[in-house]
Amino acid sequence: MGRASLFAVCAVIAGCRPSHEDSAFRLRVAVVGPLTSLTPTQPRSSSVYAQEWVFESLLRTAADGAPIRGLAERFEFIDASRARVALRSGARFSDGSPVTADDIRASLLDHDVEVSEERGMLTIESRSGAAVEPLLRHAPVYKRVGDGYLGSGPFRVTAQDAEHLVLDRIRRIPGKIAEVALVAFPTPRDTFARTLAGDADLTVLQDAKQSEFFNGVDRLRVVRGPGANATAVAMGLKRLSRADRKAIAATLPRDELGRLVFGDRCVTMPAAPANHDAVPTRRLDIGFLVNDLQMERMALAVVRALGPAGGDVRALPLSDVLAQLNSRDFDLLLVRPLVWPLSAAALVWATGSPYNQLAYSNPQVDAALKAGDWARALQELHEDPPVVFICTPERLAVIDSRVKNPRVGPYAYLETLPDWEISE
Amino acid sequence: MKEESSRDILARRLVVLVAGSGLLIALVGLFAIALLRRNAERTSQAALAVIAEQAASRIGAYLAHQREMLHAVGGVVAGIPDAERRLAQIALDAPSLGRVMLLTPRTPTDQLPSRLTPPDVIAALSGREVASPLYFRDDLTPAMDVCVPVGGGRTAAVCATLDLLELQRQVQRIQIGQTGYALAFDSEGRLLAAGAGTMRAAALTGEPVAESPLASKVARGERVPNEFRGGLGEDVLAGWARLTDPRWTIVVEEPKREALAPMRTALLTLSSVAVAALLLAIALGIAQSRRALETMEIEERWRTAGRIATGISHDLGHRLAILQSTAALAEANDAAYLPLIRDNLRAEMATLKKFVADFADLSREVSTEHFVPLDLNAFAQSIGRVATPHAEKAGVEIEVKPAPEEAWVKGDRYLLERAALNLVTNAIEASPPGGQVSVEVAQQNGVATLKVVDRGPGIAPERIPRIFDAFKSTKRTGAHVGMGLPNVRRIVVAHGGDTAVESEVGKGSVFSINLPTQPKPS
Repeated sequence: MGRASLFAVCAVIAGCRPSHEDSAFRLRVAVVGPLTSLTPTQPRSSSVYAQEWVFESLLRTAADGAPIRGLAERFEFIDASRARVALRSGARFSDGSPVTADDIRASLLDHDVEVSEERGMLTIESRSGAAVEPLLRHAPVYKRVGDGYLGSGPFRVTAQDAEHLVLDRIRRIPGKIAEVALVAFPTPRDTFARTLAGDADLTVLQDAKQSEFFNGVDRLRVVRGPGANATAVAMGLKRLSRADRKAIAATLPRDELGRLVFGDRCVTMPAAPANHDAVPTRRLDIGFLVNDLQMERMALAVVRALGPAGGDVRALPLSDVLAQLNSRDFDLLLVRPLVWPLSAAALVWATGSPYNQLAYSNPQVDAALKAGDWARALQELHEDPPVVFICTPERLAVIDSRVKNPRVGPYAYLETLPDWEISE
Repeated sequence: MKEESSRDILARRLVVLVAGSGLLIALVGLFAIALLRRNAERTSQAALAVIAEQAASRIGAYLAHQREMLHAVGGVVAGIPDAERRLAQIALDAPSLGRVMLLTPRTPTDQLPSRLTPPDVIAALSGREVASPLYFRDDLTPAMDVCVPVGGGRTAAVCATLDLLELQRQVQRIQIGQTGYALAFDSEGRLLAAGAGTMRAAALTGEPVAESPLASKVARGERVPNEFRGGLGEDVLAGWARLTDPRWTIVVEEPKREALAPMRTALLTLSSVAVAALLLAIALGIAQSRRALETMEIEERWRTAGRIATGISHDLGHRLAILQSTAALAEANDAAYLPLIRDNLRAEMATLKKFVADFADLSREVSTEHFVPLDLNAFAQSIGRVATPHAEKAGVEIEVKPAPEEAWVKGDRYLLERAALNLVTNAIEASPPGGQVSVEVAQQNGVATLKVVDRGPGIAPERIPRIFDAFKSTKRTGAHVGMGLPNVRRIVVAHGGDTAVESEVGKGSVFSINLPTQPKPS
């Protein structure tokens, strides 16, 4: 009788404890505005940080670069251009509707692939013969409903305007983030300052030096992770021959350049093969995006490294940078192409890829990419280099100290946020 | 109601003395604490000022070094043909100089250092060194545009965007205690660098902080307080320092609670020990006093017992001598002695009865249970009547003089009668035959007085101070054992009153019983 009473009392007490719903953790992410609608296609605003939280891709990327399951619970590659996947059991969009083969087909419609279903398995095959692995990592799965999009990720958008993007976790998990709010500020400086002042719990840092501002700020901690984009010197394909480009690539001391600009926090890319051709005798001008002080410094370093061939250093507005990339009519231009994981090369350098901003085309590279041989593709890129990869700088963010396991990357900047655990 | 004993009075005085000493020590301690606290504050402020001065000195030296480097560059650049290109490259080897450029009259406006004003540019081209205020670049690095003239008489200047991240580092590195920090301000009170993390936002946005007005005053050479509410909303102790070029101010702050924490801990420990010692001393003092008083009381009891024994043995010895004489007369078997023998025995019996009665009075405790309202006028009349037979026997006249109004008191009627009759009997016995004894009642200021006045021989002045002490009677005749007046005093004091005596040798004496008046019973 006594034990039964004790049990009853304990049960009542346990029943009366505040639920985790009451202590839902809300994370405010400071970004530069204005924000645009969150769509599965790459939004050209800071809304992009939230993309992976709402829209899943079939595969995700492990820390070592290997593909791991995403929306696809099981997967296998028949060959580089064909994959067979099984969707996660019970996978649903945020409105509760199940994710179907038709939704996968619709989501990959623009990527020139064939999706077929047989006994619960989907076969995805590239019509052009291109490797599908990068696509499965990169392409978000969505469902179009009216003017909006639904995703199958753990969060859904509950409110949005130019200054706020509020996302709510569909099924709350005790000890994990329940709500995320992207809060937009007019300038990077405001974004940074407001985070320091306590108006936000997370912001992405553009420069390692900025982390010094957070020394002694117990509320936040600096989190570092490997980068996925390299700092690279793009070479104008219209102006520079393959021999010129190879000579330039062989001439530039990438280690030294990386150290000059980033210190020891930049991972140097694999070396280009030795080359005995001389760099062009004419002076090569180099452009960079205005107000990007790291790139300005890199441009100065490249000019010095080129010696007599080093020309003027030009700070260019974004429109000019894009115009030059499109026209391929420039000497040198500092860019930040995606280089990790290696299969990303299929996105960036495959002929006709929407992500191939330099409009680079090389049949040997394409063949290697189609074969899924990323190392050979890189080798072929070295033989006909569109860019000189200098190094891959680390990525940084300052994140609320209550988050126990924050990470940046490994692929998208804040893709692991739904998995972060919050200390009590 | 019991009479407060002299032992209690003495004990109370001792306690008051010890407690008073303790209080005095405590007051001295409090004063010492206040003094120590003030001293600790001053010491902390002085230490903070030293740190601020050191920081200002380091920052000044750093800036001077940057300028010297720029001057050195300006000195050699004049003769170099592709100076502009070379200057741009300097930033790679001397990152603290930031972007370095050659300023000439032909330099396009959009390539000028961003924070130099047109007058600055004109001044720089005319050979003067100019510097912009500190600002934050797009990568949020603190910077300052500085131009110095080039050598060789050229109309040009070398300009650099000094990277002042090191300044920020120097300020951030200053950590005082657990949470103390440093702040750097420009001459307008704008925050430039902050050791306190959350205040750094104000440096970026240019928002004023709590210290801004003080900082601008310091920059103007004015005095400012070293204790105020800091930018983090906490009371701080501070030390200020000033740079002359640029006119920046450095303040080093430490939260007051933290700065004074060691002093508080020390004082708390000291105070606790002092209070404990004080309490121990008081406790020991009281204990020792009690022991001393108990010893004194025992000694006093023995002395009293001795006095009683002396008195009793003296009086009983006298009585015994008379009885022995009487017995000797009886043994003579002479009938002629019989009247004498009878008178002696009667007298001695009366004396011994009186002796026993006196002791019986002494043994009766005063208790409020026996208190009744008494009109002192009626009481005096009653005393007069009771004493008249004895007075007539002695040939003395008793006169009662009541007060004009009723004088009400409260008391044990029996004991008060015993006290009053004792005084009247003494007065009768002191009066010569044919004399007069007055029993007078008066009332004034809440005190009712019963006076017994005689015109006897009076009392020698030296006896008056101790006349109410036990066994001090000098009569030693008849039934006088020296317990009468002490008993009177005991009774009156137990009623909340007191006794008094006035006497003049040869003229008589006045014995008074003073009692607190009471309202007339309804």
